[in-house]
Formats: sequence, C-alpha cells, structure tokens
Amino acid sequence: MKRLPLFLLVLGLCGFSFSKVDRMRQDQALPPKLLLLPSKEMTQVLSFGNEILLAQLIFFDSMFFVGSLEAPPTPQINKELYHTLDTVTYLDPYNLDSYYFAQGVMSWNRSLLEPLNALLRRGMAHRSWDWQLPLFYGFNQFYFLQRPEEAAIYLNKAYQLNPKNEFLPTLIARLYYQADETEVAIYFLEEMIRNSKSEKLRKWMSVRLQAFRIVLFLENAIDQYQERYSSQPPSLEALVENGMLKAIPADPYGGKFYLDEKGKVGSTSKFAFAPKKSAVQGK
Amino acid sequence: MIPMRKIGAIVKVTFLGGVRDRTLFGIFVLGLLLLLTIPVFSYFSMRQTTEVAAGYALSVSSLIGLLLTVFMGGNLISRDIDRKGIHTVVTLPISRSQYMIGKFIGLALLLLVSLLILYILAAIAVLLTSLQYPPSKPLQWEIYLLVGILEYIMLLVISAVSVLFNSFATSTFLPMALSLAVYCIGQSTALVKDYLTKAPEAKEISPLVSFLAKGSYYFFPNLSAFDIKNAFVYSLPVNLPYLMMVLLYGMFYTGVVMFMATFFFGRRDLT
Repeated sequence: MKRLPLFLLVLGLCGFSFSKVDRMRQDQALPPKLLLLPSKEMTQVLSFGNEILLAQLIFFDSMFFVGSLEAPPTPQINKELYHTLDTVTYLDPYNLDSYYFAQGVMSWNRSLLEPLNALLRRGMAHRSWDWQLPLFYGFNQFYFLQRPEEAAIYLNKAYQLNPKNEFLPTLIARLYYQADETEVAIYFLEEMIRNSKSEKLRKWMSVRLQAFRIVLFLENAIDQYQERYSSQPPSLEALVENGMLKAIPADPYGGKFYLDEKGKVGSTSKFAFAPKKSAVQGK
Repeated sequence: MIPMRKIGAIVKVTFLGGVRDRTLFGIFVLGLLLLLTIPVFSYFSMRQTTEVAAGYALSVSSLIGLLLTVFMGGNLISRDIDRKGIHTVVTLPISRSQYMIGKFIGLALLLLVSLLILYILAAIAVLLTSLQYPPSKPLQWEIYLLVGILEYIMLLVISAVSVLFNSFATSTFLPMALSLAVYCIGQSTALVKDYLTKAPEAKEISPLVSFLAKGSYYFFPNLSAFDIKNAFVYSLPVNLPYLMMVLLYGMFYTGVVMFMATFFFGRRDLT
C-alpha cells in the first residue's frame, strides 16, 4: 500500500503541470497558420496514391484555419488560401467542398477573381454533372466582371443540370435586360447560405446579405425619388429630407452609406470589416 | 498432386502463423478502429459527406492492406531463417521453390481475408453515411468491387516483391524497408514521367535524372494504374478493357518477380 500515496503524488503533479501548460499555451499560442505545402505536383507525388484523402485533409486544415480567423481573410491570407485550394483541386479535381469554399471566401476579393474562375473551370471540366459550379462561375461573370451574356450561358447550364432551381430561369431572363446587380447578388447569397454547412461562412455571407438588402432598399427609395422629381437625388440624405426615408440604415460592416457620382449606392466600409489590429495574420 | 499437397501444407502454416501474429492482429485492429472514425471525419465536409466517407474508407483499407503486406512479407522467410526453422524445412522432402510459392500463397490468402473483412466493413460505413447524406450521384457498388480487386492485385505485386527481397536478405528489416520503398516508387513513377514529358519546367532537369526517372517507370511496378478510388468515390465511368489489362499486367509482374525470387532462393546458402 506504500505505492498508493506515491501514485497519487505523481498523479497530482501531472495534473498540476498540465494545468500550467494549458494556461501558458493559451498565452503563447502562435497565430494559426495554413499548412506550408510544396508545389502541387510534388504534393501529388508524396500522396502515394491517396490523393483524395490528402486533398480532403489539406482542405480541412484550410477550413479550420479560416474558422479560427476573427475577421474575414485579408488579401494576403486569401492568396495563401488560393495556393492551398489550387493544390487541393489539383490532387482531387472532383472535390466539391474546395470549390464551394473558394467561392464563398475568395470571390469578393477582386485580385483573386481570375484565379478563382480558373479553379471553377477546373471543377466544371471534371464535375460535368454538377450545377453549382456553373452557377458560381456565371455569378462571377455577371456581378464582378459585368459580362451578362457569358453569365447567362453558365447560368443556363446550371439550370439545365438542375431544373429544380426555380429561381434561375427568371434570373437568366433578367440578365439580358440589365438585371439589377444588387438583386442578383441577393439571390445568389441566399442560395449560398441555404446550402452552407460552415457556420463561419454562413455568418459572413449573412452580414453581406444584410448589407445588400439595405442597398436594395436604398436603391428602391432612389427610384421613387427619380419618379417623383425626375432627377437623381443629390445625396442619400436628400431622401430623408424629402420624407422618403425615416433615416439611412446603418451599414452592418460599420461604414456609412453614400451615393456616388454615378448614382450608385456605396459604403465607406466597401462591404468589408475594417481590419482589426488583433486580427490574426497568415504566415 | 503430391507437390500441391506439400505447397498446401506450407500455405496452411503461413496462413495460420499470420492469423496468430500479434503485430498483424494489431494492424488489423487499428484498421477497424480507423474505420469507426469515418462518421467523425466525414462530418466536417460541407457539401460531399458521403464522398469524403468513401475516400477515407478506401484509403484506410488500402493503408492497412499495405501495412499487412509489408510486415507480413518482411517476416515471411527471414523469420524462419532467424529462428533456424528453415533447417527443418530444408530437410523436408520439399523443394525450395515449393516452399517459397507456398509462403507466397499463404500471404496472398491472408491478405485476401483481411481485405475482404476491411472492405465489407468499409462498405457498411459508406452505405450508412450515404443513407443519411445522399451523394450527388448514386454510389456504384460494382465499381467498389473493382476497386477492391485491383487493390488486392496491387498488394500481390508488393507481396511478390517482398518475397523477392526475402530470397536474399538476411534480416527482417531489409525486405520491409525495401518493399515499402518499391511501393512509394511504384506509386509515383507514372506521375514523374508525365511531369517530365509534359511540364515546360522539366526541360531544365538534367538528362541523367530524366533518364533514371523514365527507367524507373519501366522497371518498377506501375502501381498508380491500380488505383481507381476516385471512380467509386465520385461515381465516374470506368474503362473496363483498360482495367482488365492492368489486372493482367499485375498478375504477370507478380509471376516474373516470383520466378526471380525462386531463382535467387534456390541458389542461396542457408547454412
């Protein structure tokens, strides 16, 4: 029975040291990082025939990384994310998760739009039965690149692959008549949110959706003003002064809405949260 | 019929020895435990839960199959030599080739049973996942069967390679390490060759390296040809005549290596 006190002592010390480690780990925690990957060709060779599993593991790593960020990724992080997702889709070009994730996280960053579209083209070349990829691609063509004809081709493809998508035919028809960008964006975001399982992604997209709904609301008020006075309102404040709005709604991104010289509603936030100092940076 | 009976006896001893082996049992149990983690692993997927479950299940089965082949293959003959059991075998009325072929078939049988159990359990896990999260295209179980058959033939190639290393190695470690190396090389030669012939950057690679890489492509078994996991995971069409050819290639390659193994072993000094 002499062993029992000794055992309890060692157990106690073990618990004590771990509680210290646990506390100190929280303080010294390094910022989360994306995996440092070699070139995609090398990664494929090193997978030794387990490309699908390796692709999924790398994808999960990038998903958890984004999940650990306090604010949506900065352009630098997005660039690193692109490299990761490019590798994932090179290993397993059928991996739907990575295309979906890339569209959700990278598409609102102009400089990454072309690389993102290249990823989507890779996906469409392989997942020929999938309606979601042409939908993403078509949306990017319309909203970001202002190519309604190109967009209509891809949205039509998406509709043909999945005729259950009732919102698509209306949308395609409207594209030719210069559909309202904001309305299309709202449609698209609603669709993305409905299908998203990632809590973080859904949250970020919901904030964007909220902002776009406000923009649409403001645009409708501007249309009313134009009908009544046959001219553009000089500013958003004019809408309040003329009693068309009670007040200008707050931007969920913390900015202020304004009317630019082309008569479009913008926000000082540029629809992105101001980078916090504490926001975690990539490598 | 007498040589058959002699080989049969060796097969039986090898098979039962494998079943009783604790290391192999441990690897097998590890495989079963990994298969149990399928729901946890696939849960993280955003849009393709069943596909992730299928990819994971097949990779786990393949990894466990490889470990079993390498460990069991490494021990196959060198253990008999280490424990001096080989001296008893040499005195028996059985030729060295018969002994070696019996050992190989015993290993092949053990792998067949293990792979069968792993694949059945993996199939159940994938099926259950697919009921809860229907995949974008229905699963094609006949392709699953093909994946399993090709995987098995690939493991037979590795087993034969392992037997070949056993025929001249003096320790158990050497055949294990070498057959693992052959597996890694065999999985990558096709990719490397494609890279060398297609990628524009490859022109800067020295001709010697390029020659060695291309030489390895023809010399080592081309194992990536046996991998059609993505055809099951994403329900893609398969090219049956091509796969039949791959199957034949695997069997002939195994035959060639076994011939070499019996040749070396016949000339080995066992005293």
